[in-house]
Amino acid sequence: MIQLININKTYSKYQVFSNFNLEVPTGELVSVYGPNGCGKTTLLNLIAGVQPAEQGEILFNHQDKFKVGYIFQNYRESLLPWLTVEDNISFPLLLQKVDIQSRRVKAKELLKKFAPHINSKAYPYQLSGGQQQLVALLRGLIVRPDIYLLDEPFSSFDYQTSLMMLKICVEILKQEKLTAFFVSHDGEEAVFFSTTIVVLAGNPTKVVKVFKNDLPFPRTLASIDSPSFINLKKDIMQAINTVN
Amino acid sequence: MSYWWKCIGPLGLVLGWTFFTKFKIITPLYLPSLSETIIALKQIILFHGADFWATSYRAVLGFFIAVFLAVPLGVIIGYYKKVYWSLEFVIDFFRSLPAPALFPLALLFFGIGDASKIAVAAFIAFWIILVNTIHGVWHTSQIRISVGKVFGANSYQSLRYITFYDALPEIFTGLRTGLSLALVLVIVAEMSIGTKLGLGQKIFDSYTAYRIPDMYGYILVVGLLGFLLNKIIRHAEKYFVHWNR
Repeated sequence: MIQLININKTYSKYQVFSNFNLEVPTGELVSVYGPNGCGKTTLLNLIAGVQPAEQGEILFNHQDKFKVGYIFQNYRESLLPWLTVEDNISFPLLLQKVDIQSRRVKAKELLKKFAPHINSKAYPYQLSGGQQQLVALLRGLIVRPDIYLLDEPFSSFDYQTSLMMLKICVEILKQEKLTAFFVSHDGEEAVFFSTTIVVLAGNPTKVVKVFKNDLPFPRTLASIDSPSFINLKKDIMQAINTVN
Repeated sequence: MSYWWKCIGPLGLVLGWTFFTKFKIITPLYLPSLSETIIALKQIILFHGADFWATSYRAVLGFFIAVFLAVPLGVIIGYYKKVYWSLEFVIDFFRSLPAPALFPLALLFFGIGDASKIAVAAFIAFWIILVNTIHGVWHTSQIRISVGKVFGANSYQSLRYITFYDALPEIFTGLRTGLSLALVLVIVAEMSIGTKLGLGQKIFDSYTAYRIPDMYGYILVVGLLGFLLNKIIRHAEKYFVHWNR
């Protein structure tokens, strides 16, 4: 279980969260859906511990120590262009002072399992956007995270590619049995990804509503046209409007 | 195709030189014929290589001293805004100071030997590399810094593994300018401080002795040296900063 308890957070003088609470069972794929500027990314940064909250607790199975994987929106800048694919993937292990041999072995294992078509010795700028973001995803996996955080990782891709990447991403996260928080302002992506949808809105930000998403996996382009998909998408989009 | 285009410039230079000397548009006293100059150049290359090495040694050593001081310092000054603020005036003052003004000072401290010339070369290169390194650090991608933070980098690791590399393209801009200026300063220092061996000294000697073909020969050698150093650093840049083409 992941718990955010009584979170207070100001961001450049704005009170983004005031006594914010959220509880999610482990193993859920959570879409965090809401309008731009409602503090979705701030929420991820709080969980990642990059921006500390002024008040409140974040617990994973009642522990305040846990590991996170993180994938950023801007894939062009989030990889380190001076490192090869394998060294990018194992970069978090370098920070943990793991020696280079074991780092590369672990990176190659991940590549073999999830992206055998990517050359471990290539540099990021030699890869397509999709491949780069896949490398970034694997980099987050190498730390064996408890929670995986995704900040609109495919929003700069074209429609087709972004759904395809999202599908690959979901498959990997499910296979690793991870709890994930996926931030999006796109209703379709939010539904496509999730088993639970948390709709955020308001000022300061509140949880408007939590939706259960029981649509079966694997989800494909065809699932998007199913009535249950469309209804859920409508519901979450309407939920935002109830606030203002 | 581009190969032929590239020959046009040098060819034009040779033709122009021949044209001006052949028809005595410029008196041979000031501009000797190309063949005379080439004979002088051949003599220099065959028998006076020591000048070339003396000048190269001074410029390159001065440059490397500057690199080893300026790059780490620049990374630190750029990283800590407060350190930069407290040093801003000092940096701006010294990088604006025309280095030849310091020749007498260099003589006082380092004497008339190699050390004073190396010192002024290091001085000029130091400030330009320092400033470029600082700017490079400032332009580090904030997203990559966040990547480091998310995966638990401490500030040393963030500097060492992210900021330094992100600053490297701009550091190399500084290195290129720094190396060129180091050579300029060594030549000027050789001319004004004086030395036994050195291309600057030899240019001046040939001038005072009115051995004009020799003077042109030495000028060509200096030009070649500058050209060579620039090529080397560009290759180094391509190798070390392969992602920034």
